Amino acid sequence: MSLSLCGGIVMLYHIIYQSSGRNLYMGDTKNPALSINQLRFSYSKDPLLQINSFQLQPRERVAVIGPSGCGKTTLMHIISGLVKPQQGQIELQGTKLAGLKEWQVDRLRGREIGIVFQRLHLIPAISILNNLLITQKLSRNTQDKNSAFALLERLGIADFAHKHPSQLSQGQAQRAAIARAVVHKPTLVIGDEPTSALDNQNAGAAIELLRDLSDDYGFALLVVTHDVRVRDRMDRVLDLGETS
Amino acid sequence: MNLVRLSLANLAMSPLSSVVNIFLLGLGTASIAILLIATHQLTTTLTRDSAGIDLVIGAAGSPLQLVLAGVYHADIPPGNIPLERVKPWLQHPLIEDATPLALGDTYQGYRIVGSEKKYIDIYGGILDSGQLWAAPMQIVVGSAVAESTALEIGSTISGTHGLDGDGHAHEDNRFQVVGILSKTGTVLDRLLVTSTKSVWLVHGVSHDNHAYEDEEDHDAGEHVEKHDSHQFDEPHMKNEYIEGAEDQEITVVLMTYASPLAALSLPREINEEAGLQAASPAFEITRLLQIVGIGFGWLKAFAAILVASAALSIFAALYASLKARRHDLAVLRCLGATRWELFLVLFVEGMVLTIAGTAVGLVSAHGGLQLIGIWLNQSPNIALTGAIWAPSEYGLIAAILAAGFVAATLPARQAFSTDVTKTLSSP
Repeated sequence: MSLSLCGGIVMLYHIIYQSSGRNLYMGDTKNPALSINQLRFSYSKDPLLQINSFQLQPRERVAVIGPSGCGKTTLMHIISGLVKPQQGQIELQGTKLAGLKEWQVDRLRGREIGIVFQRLHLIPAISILNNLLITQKLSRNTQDKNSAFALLERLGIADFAHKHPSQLSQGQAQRAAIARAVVHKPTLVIGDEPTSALDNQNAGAAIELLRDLSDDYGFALLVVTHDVRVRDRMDRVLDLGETS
Repeated sequence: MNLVRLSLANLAMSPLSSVVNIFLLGLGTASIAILLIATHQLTTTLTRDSAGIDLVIGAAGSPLQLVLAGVYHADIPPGNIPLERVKPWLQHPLIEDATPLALGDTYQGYRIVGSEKKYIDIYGGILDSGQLWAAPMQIVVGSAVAESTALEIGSTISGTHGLDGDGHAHEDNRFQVVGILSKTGTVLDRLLVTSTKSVWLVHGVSHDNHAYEDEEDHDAGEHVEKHDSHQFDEPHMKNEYIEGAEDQEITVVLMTYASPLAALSLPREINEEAGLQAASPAFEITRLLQIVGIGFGWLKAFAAILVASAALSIFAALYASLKARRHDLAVLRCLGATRWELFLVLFVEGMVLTIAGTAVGLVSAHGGLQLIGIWLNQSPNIALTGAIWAPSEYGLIAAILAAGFVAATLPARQAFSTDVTKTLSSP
């Protein structure tokens, strides 16, 4: 009882003091992995998303929370350059998305962002190793089979490198999806409910893995989640229910 | 790993569908290719075999039959004609050259042609071994005949009476093989050629007639040098043997005009004579090809429907693949692929199927025709090979690639337009 009360107080602190719509992060702004300024987005008259300022530093981990329909996934798409906001500025590693041509945004996304999808979406026609290599290819980095294999080894799924996704268990596939998101050494990794389809054990392992990799690779982590366990393992919280 | 390999992996993931599509397209391609190659070969062969022959004179009947029998040796001639009847035409001023042929016998299905040595020149024949006939009952053998029957210099053979191979054998009048001709790629390869006199002898013609022996005497003892293309020239011998042999019969006369004007008057004049007819190989073959062409046209139309069906099948397969893999395509965009790269993934799949189907079809067509050709080689009158390339095949390839291009482009265009956010949020 007292534990959950403490957890609730910590969460409230995060929501109120670190995730306000006015000024979400006041830390080091020298070299942010992600910077959002005066973002406005709506599908109708009422604004869906409204973020005045938000910055995410390398190795920083943020949970994005909020009620259903508050625009969490839309925010991920905007950050990825897949959706254009009506107003505001997104910068990835200092590069403004606005003004870039679509193919330039695609290139930037491929290079700077890694994504862990809720349903994993590993490409079924090719092996796990090739899923990693095609990601390196699309990031326009040099394909490095050794580093990809080393990553799979680190994640404990090297034995499945030449297997197809359908031959892996859910937990193994989750680790493969995480490997794919980081194999090209992005500056920002986005997780869209990355643990929602996992059992407790696998969910905990996955989030710990992401944290560890964030420390080692230096990428910032932005995770959309409803999972309290995930939220608790992040450095801070961006509550879109508060910002809109 | 790259996007092209990803496309191939996608195809490999549904092997049955890929194989069926390749097979369907291959079937259509092979059907059309076989028709094109066969038509090309037929046209080339017919044209080559009748080159240098402007007019054929023979017994009255079907002109096409006369040409098929007299030039291509592929039909029974309408009948024989007395040498006396054609003599005036042989010496006609509008005729540059005339070569009478006496037909009537076969050897293992291959026709024995009695003629002059210049008959071999018409087809550019040269000796591979031996020599030309220098005396009655000597015979030279075409390359295909030699290959098929294993005849060699010194072999003796007896002809079978009649051109259908069902007649009695002339055992009392055996020919001796004295020469074997090199391959010419013409009808000559499938013939045995001897002097006209020899044919008359076999068929019981009087031996007292010495007129035609002049020809034999002329060459007696001469050994023709191998590979001399002019070895059979006998310019001074314009049908010399005919003198004194007017009571004999021949089957056809192959004629070359001395002037284009001959084409205007000569056939009409000959056709006015009772029992004689003149036929132009060029005209008759054009008529034949038109008749055959109608049948080929229908077959080509049917094959075109097969190709169109295959293209539709590829389109349907790609479209189904697109629907099934829409999430994969959206994920590729998330991983950094541009719209054009998504287009490429689907387009490559379609073109790989198209190219593979076309290649399978062409290989099947050529391989199949080659096998048929080997099988038909047993037949004395037909030569078919898959080892040639018909120029119209380029058009076929272009047309099929264009159909595949369209079939691949439509789904690829859909891939290009993939809405990533909607797709990823859909079930």
